[in-house]
Amino acid sequence: MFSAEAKLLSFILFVVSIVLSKTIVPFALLILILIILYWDLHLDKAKAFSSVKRLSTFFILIILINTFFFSKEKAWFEFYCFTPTLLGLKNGLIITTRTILILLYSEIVMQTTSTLRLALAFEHLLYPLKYLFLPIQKLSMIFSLSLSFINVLNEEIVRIKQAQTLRGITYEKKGIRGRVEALLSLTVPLFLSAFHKADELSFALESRGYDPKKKLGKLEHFFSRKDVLFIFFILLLNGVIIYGGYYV
Amino acid sequence: MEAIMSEIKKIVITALSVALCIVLPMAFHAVPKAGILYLPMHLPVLLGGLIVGPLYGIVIGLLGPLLSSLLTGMPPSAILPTMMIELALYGLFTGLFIKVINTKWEAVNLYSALVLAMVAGRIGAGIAKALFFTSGQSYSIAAWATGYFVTGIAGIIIQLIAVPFLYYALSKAKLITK
Repeated sequence: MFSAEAKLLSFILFVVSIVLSKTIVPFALLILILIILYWDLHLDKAKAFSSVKRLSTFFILIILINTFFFSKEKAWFEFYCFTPTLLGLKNGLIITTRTILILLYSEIVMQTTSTLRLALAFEHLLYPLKYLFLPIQKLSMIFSLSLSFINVLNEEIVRIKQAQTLRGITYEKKGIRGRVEALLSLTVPLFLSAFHKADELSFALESRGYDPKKKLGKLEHFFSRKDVLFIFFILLLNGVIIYGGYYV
Repeated sequence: MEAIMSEIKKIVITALSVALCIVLPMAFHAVPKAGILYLPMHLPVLLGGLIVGPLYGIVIGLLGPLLSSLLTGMPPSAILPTMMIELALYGLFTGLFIKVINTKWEAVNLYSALVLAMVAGRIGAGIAKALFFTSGQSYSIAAWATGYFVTGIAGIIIQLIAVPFLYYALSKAKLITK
């Protein structure tokens, strides 16, 4: 098993690879590595894909918007403001693939590492910044807490949307006023519920004696030989993507 | 005497605001063009800056768009640097102005801090864009005003209604200390 530091660093490097990829070969390579990692680490695939499933409407919307509005050149046909193009479709597919890959890679880190361990890893990786007088412990805690808040808030949004729909609020209203009202009906309960959660969490942290100025813990070795080899492999992958002609 | 917010609570609220910067635009994007028109990412930064102060406000403004771009692809990497500067300035100035402006009327303090921060953030982002991110193309004041004030007018209205409302609602529920 890789160390949390190696997992976090490799996730960042994977994101760089994903962002640099623009053609089918690097994407295929990244998908292959993803399959190997999920298979080797025996991860919960259903849980990983549930986050992708939750965003499926958004992905379809992104593909449709890109296909119909991305460009006016070489359009298949023209109907009012709709100008579907192959270039737009490709762009939509690239954005969607990138987002899905980042979600699935982040799921590997989240499923195999506890929040506290992730905070510690982030702190270790940012350690050199301590010499610039930056509060590394606090930053690492903020980073890991915000990652764990994302799923909680996503579930909360779904719950609030369902509750507001039951009360008769529709999110497809026309006109600025209608849309603003609909969006405020989502925003206000979301913020109130989120701050309730933050209040409970800070109370729990205080009562357990968490000190933001104290170091979280010490580890003798951040990286094993296996970790170094894995990171070297991803760096190599980035090199292939950048210099292998796949990056335009 | 008013209670002072603990450092732990500030950290948790900062993390929560960063997470809201990621989640809120995803919810808003169900409505077509909502990201550009309603500026959902600005809400947690402005509110966060008011609640946790200027330094944590900068952290929210920098980490929010960065993590959102990495995890969801929004904002696109082309506009990410200017957006990070703009939001960091919002976080900084809301936190600063709410501490500096001290009139008898709380609503005046809140609205002045909010409006001044919104203007200062937009000016800062405009200057940064003109100096570093226009890649040799000219960038006029008209383009700046259109981009930052006209296009997002609905977003500005939402911010002016929602941020003070949320701030009062949260203080009334004793979830934050002023």
